[in-house]
Amino acid sequence: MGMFLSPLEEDILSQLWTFEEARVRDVHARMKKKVALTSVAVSLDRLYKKKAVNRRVEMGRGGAHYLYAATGSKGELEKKVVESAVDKLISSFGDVAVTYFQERFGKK
Amino acid sequence: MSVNACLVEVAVDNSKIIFSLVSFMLSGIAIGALWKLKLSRKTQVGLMYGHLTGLFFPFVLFTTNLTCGFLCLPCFESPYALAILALPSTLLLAALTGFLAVPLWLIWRTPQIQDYRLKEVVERYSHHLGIATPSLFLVDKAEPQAFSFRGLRSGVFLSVGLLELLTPKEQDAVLIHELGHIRQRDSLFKLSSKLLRFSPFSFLSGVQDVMRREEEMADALVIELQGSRYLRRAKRKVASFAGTME
Repeated sequence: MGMFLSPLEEDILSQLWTFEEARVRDVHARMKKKVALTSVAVSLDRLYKKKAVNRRVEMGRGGAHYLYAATGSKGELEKKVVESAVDKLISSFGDVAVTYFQERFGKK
Repeated sequence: MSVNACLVEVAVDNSKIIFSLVSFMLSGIAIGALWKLKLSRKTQVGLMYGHLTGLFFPFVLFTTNLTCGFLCLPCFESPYALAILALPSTLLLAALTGFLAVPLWLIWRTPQIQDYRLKEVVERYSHHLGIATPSLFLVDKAEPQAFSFRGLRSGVFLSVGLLELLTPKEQDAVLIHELGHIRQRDSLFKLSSKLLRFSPFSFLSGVQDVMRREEEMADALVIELQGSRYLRRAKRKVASFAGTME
């Protein structure tokens, strides 16, 4: 899955980087913008499917919950996003994209 | 041709053996995939049905062969005609066995919830409804989900997402709803269509009406025992999750 992130996903990730592991409710409590708990849960699930976060089930009070953790640092994630974007451009536009990058980054 | 002559002609020939071996092999592949691979629940259930179909097919094939021979019908001579005749019975047998086997498989593979509060709620309402207390199982999914069945061993399945998003009272509403289904001894078609989009019975439009009535009755039980507030809120959260996912 591509690593493009929505603004909410980016917000959630920046909160998650301040934790070692966090529950949905922990991240939701730290969000600066007012969003529904469900939206945070959906976004974390999407980030998990994009492999931007890991999660594990913790059994405890209330039955069970997920503990989410970012798979890498901010820098590593940004690199993945850029790689994903570039790969998509190359697979869509082939030589045109490659030529553009050569021209663009050949200039000083 | 006399019946005895036909029965003499009924033989185990190479093509029937090949059909049977391929069927057993596919059945083995299905169970191997179930064991080794991490698959979605729908795929798991599909593979279970596939495994049962592969397992039953050779026996139904030979039974059909003998029947054709006994009745002196032309089908006993043609392995392809036999296979076509055997297939509907095999699928029906696999579907019926699946209704028993699939819940047991799910129970075996799914961890139990040990939370004291949830277990106490299930026990209390089960006692009130006059049913045996089902076990509680945890489904590793972020989407809020709940389902139940009554079989050799009854169970209520709750997803991690449901436990995360719903308050205790909302969780109770969901539990009462599921216990309502267990008490109603809801139709086996419901389990099939919940677990399997491609269930052999899911295309029957009548099943949908039955399921809708069963849902309404389970909701009515929640309203009777707890009121409608928490059930409404739980449904809103579930719908909100599904809506946000799209």
